[in-house]
Amino acid sequence: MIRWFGAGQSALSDPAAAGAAAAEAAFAGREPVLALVFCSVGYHVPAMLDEVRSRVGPATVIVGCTTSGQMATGEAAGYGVAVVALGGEGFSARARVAREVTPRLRAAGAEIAGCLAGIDRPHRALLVICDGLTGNQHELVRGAFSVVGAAAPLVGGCAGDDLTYDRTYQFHGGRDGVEIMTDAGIGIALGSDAPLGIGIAHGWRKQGAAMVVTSSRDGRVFELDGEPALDVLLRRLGLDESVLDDEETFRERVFLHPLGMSRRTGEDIRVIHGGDRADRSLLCLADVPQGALTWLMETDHDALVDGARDSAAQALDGLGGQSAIGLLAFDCVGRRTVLGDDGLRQEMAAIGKELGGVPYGGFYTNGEIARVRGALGMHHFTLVTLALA
Amino acid sequence: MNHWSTHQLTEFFAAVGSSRDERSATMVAMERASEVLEAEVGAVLIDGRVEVAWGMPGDDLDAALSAAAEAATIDVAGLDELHVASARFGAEHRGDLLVARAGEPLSPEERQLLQAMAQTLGLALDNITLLSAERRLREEREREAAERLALLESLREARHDSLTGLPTRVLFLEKLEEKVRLGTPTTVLFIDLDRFKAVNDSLGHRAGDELLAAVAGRIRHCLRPDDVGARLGGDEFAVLLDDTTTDDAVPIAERLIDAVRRPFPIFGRDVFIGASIGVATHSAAAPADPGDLLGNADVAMYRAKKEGPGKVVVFAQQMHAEALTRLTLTSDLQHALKHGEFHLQYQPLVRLADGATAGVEALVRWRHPDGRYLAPADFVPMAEENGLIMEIGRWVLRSAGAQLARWRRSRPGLRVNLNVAARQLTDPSFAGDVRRMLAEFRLPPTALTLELTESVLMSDPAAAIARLTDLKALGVGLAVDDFGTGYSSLSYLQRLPVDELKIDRAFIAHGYLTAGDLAVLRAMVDLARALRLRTVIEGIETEAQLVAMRRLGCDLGQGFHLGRPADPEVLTPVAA
Repeated sequence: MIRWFGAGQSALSDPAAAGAAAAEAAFAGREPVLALVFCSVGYHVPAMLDEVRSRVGPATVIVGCTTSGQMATGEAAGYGVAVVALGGEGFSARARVAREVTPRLRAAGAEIAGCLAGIDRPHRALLVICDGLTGNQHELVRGAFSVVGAAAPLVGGCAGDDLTYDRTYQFHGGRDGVEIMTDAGIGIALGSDAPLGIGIAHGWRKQGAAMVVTSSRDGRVFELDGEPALDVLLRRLGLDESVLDDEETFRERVFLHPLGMSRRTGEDIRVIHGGDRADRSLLCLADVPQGALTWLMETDHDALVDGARDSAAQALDGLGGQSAIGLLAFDCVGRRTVLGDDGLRQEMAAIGKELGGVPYGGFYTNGEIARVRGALGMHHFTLVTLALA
Repeated sequence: MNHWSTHQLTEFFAAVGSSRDERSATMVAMERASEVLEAEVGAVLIDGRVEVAWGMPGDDLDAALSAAAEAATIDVAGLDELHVASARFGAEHRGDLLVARAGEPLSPEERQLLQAMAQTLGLALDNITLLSAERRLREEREREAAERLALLESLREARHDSLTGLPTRVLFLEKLEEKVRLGTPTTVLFIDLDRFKAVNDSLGHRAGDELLAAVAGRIRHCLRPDDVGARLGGDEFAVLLDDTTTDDAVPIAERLIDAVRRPFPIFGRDVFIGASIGVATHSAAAPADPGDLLGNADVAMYRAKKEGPGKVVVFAQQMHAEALTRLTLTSDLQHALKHGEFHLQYQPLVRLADGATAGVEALVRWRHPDGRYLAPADFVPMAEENGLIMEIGRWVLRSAGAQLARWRRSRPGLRVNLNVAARQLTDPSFAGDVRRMLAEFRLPPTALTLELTESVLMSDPAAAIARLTDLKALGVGLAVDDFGTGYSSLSYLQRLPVDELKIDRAFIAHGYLTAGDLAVLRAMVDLARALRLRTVIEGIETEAQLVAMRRLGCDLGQGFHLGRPADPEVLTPVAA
């Protein structure tokens, strides 16, 4: 059977109906090798998944997670279900799950990467989906890299919960049943006879003077330039202390100003998602190493849209001249928040234009994973894309 | 300044520097170096071989590196051509930090960064090596110290007395041996506490233990740093006086006795005891085995004890012979009890007013198999010491009881006085023995008067009062013997439940009584009368003494002039 890629989504409020609609749009009657299901939190997930798995084959691998929004061909939405699927000749997929990963991220990463060994195709990648609230996700990616090595790329994203930072869920199973988990990591070994291309871009730039992280532990920044980090942030952004009265307000105001850390190919970005009044620290979702030089970052619609175009173009470039059948996207929820509805439409248009009618789908993430070059695989405020030939 | 490489070096330094062991420092350095330089492969090489690798299996990297020899690139299956760069780390070339990157080779700036990272790793490893060596050393030291402490503790337990903290006999002899070997004059004091047993018996063992610990403290306080005090067991202590001759030792011994004589506050009351000390010296002129030296001091202590409480006696060779005699005496006494060599003589107690015999005092005699007659003074102290006094006392009690019962058939009012030793008084079964004797011979308790010496009563008056009250409850009479020779506390005398004072012969021993003698005697008789006590004057040997005492109003008299001690069958005034 000819190789195919499909994506569909539904914003129906009935979970079963939404699941059925998205799956039918993605599968179009075909039996997928891999079906990826992304949905908003709040759905009755089992009912939705029942509809998806009733439409797959006995060997289909079903994986997925809750999100902070999803997209499928030409459309992005905050609420709903998206199903992305691929199948046909020359694809193989197998998955491995690690549970209760938070206290053992490195080991969990190594564990889920083990599934790649069973895939014997000329082109391989390890897709990673993991809980977006585990703290230092970089360690999970390092664990995966320790097993996969430089021979295959890593690509994926971290599950979200509509920016509530409360609890995210991960799905894994097949036609006979899908397990719904939290605090889990899933490795999906993808093998293909045709090339895979990966794109990574963000569209952020430095704002103001650099600051040294003089005290931090894991994702918590205590001091910038020897001063309480929260005080520095409020001053630099011209915000009043009262902005901390409401978590939501604070998050919105600082969302547009993540921290960027100096790297060889640019900046590594960290979202600030909270401020602790008690110890005047900043909470980031990923590690901000002590000693790092960091900037507050800024962007604008055009730059972000350009980022999306760049990412898609890089992924297509990776196919070595072969034409794409589809594109899987892991787009940072921060980008979606900054872009707003109008911006999202521009982003979709830019990607669509780049792909020229090739289907695409994916979800808005709480952290993006991509390692193609070098050894670093964890990103933030970034759009990671995987193009399949 | 704002270059990513210097920025990341700081992060690298922080990450590697915080590693706790060599392995994690190596791993972190390798991972971070490849991440920072965006290299697909990172590795640490030791002696040119891959120790750990990142991004590809170590063996494959080893093979690729050997195949490449000195080339700057390696070929690895599944990857593009990789540009290799490495930097040495460690002052003495501990190893190499290596990265291999696809695409473009490391720029000079990146190579410099790699070099800096390698040096950081080297420093971190040196630090960790140093710290872990120090930690190992510290742990080793702590372990050794703990072992030594445990060993010392176990030795200490065997060689130190747990009650007083003083060395035991074992440790004392070791220290003594050391001194003796050096040949310097060394003196041993053998200390035995006086009246300790009375304290133990009356106040209990806990008080006894407290007292021993307090005594140890006083002894320790009297010593110089090089002297050694020890507890040999029971109430016996020893002291080793370093570099001290006999002449110098005696004043020290006397100071010790003074120290022990001061009251001890035990459980809220003042306890008075004393000590007797024997002294033995080792010198180059008179060398001695440590055990013998301690034995000599023991023998001298025995003599001191015999001479009275609170004495210091220096060992002399002939004391050994006496000690031997003592040993012989003990076995002879046992033999005497078994073979009926004791018998009783009786001396009349005469009513001075009318010359009638009111009673008799029973006096024990030992007819030794060698034909000698031994008076109580010759064997009672020994019997007190070895405990045979208890058996002798019981024999006396029953014999006298039987004799009195015989006499009272014809002389119903006759009474008998018996001497009670200190150990009998403190023996809880003594009152029972007395009661049984009276019952056995159907004697009224008033027919028996028990005589106790002042020293027996006053060594522990409180305990004495308790025992005497038991005896008094039986209805028997109690007398204070040899009154005036010790130092009775008048307040105690008033509280003692006694009926009779026997004024010691010493007060009339001059033959001719001076006005002073008479004044003293009068005072004693008046005192007795005031306390409603019967008076007995001992040692009347002349008519003049008899007349004088009668005039003073003394109730009873005793002495050769009135009647010598005699066997019961020949005691005429009574028999008559």
